[in-house]
Amino acid sequence: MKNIFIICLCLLTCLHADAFAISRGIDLEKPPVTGIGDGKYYALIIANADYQDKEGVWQPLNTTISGAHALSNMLQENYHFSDVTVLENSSRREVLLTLSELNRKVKIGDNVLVYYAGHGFLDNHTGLGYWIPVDAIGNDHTTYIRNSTIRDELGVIAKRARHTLLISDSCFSGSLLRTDTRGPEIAVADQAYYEKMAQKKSVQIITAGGIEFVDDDFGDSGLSPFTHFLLNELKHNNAVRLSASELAYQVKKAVSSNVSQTPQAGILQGAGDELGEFIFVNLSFAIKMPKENDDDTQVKETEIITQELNQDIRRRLPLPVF
Amino acid sequence: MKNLFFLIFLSLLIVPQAVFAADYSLAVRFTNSKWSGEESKQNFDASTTVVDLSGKIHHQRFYGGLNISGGKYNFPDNGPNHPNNVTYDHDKPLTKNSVDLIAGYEFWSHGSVFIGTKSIEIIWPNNDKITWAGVGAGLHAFHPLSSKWISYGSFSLMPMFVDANDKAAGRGAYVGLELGVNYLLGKRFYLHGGLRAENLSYQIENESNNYGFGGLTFGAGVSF
Repeated sequence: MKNIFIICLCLLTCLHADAFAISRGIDLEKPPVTGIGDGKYYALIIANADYQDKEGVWQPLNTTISGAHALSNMLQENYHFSDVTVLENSSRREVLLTLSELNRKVKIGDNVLVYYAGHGFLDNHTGLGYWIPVDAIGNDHTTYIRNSTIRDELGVIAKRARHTLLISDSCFSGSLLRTDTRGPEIAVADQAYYEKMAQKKSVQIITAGGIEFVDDDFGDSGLSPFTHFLLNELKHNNAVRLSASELAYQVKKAVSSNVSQTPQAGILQGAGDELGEFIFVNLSFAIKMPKENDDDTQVKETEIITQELNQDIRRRLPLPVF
Repeated sequence: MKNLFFLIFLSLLIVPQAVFAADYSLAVRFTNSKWSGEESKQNFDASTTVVDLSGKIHHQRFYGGLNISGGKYNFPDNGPNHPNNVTYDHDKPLTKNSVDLIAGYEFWSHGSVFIGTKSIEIIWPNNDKITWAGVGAGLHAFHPLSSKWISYGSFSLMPMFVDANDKAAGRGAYVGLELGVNYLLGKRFYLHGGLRAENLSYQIENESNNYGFGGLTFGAGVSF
């Protein structure tokens, strides 16, 4: 029996050595099937609720934390996001440090989503917009995070990432945008469209509103209206691919029909956007069987994703044991 | 039986270059295993934590791997009698080791058939031992519950030869069943947990014995 153990250990060592040999040599990554959904999917979710402002300018928010966790679960469970960081009640320093850390992690070709839920502020005199961290002090703007800082950080991320998407659920978040809404012709969003968009670099922004106040509660949903409908669209998306522009279009329609705020979408100027699209890959859809009335393209896409998913599952199932 | 192991090891080692394009994974698991035994004159049980290490190669529809496990069972009262009919000495731990070699083929998108060998040995403190070894087959299947959570199960059967202190002593049968869920963590890692049950029945010196092993199992793995 000892001999068998020794041989087994030798074999295990051989396997391990082979594995390392591969990782130390040329990394032969499998060629992408379609180019869509390639690269790692990162998400940084920032949610501020417990504001500590002793001057009372910034009051606590009710729904940001629950929205952040719901989004985190949604992205991991249904949408191929393998690295999700949730930052709760963060100070200015923590936000900037985490963005810097994300900068270092992201590699060429990755996909990065940054979500912010918390107070926002627009200085009417200067026209400058800000995110408000939990350690913000009254009207002291130096304790806020300026939009230009957020744009700079996203710009650095976008230098390596193929697709970068900022979603901001805060008052005056529209001040982050410098251009008007850009969206695809929804009717022609077919496989070829997604392939083309996936190849082009994108740096996009979706905001909860324009230059306006936005609501913190939506009925008894426990979420803000914007995050409620954002999650709703992601949850009920019945396509394998969903572009950021399509998502923005649907969320804008739903939010503006229900509350008096109008979400906006656009690009981050000067960050190298090539009119590409951040593509959400709906893995949960892939595990359902195609329906008879789905068109051929949809069925084909589902099959491709199903194969990719099954391959990933099979290689990471425990070895059956006798 | 050892020759058979050598042959399978050799065949694995000389698998062509295709192996180098395969996926590899290493895993560890811990099973809170309860050993319930029925011998002709007594029943007994004891629990322990069994540690299990495995390596797996996956290439296209083929997979293969090696699984090594071991644990020490300390029976508080009765325990399995020695192969030479000496009564179990109260409160001294028995060692149970097991080695599996498996090769499988995915005939279906969510299911596969596997064959392999299994060797189990039980060693008493005075170095008496019983060894079971055999070649068998099984079915393995999974069902995705979401893109991260996957349920899985496997069932295996195996006729076994029984040696007592390295001498042929009888025959037996092995049945294994496992049901669990797997969680895909990031791009490379996975966690899994579930229930595992094994039954080992055999005859030795005209006496029928039946051992059941089972309990909750948890593990983690990484693929390369």
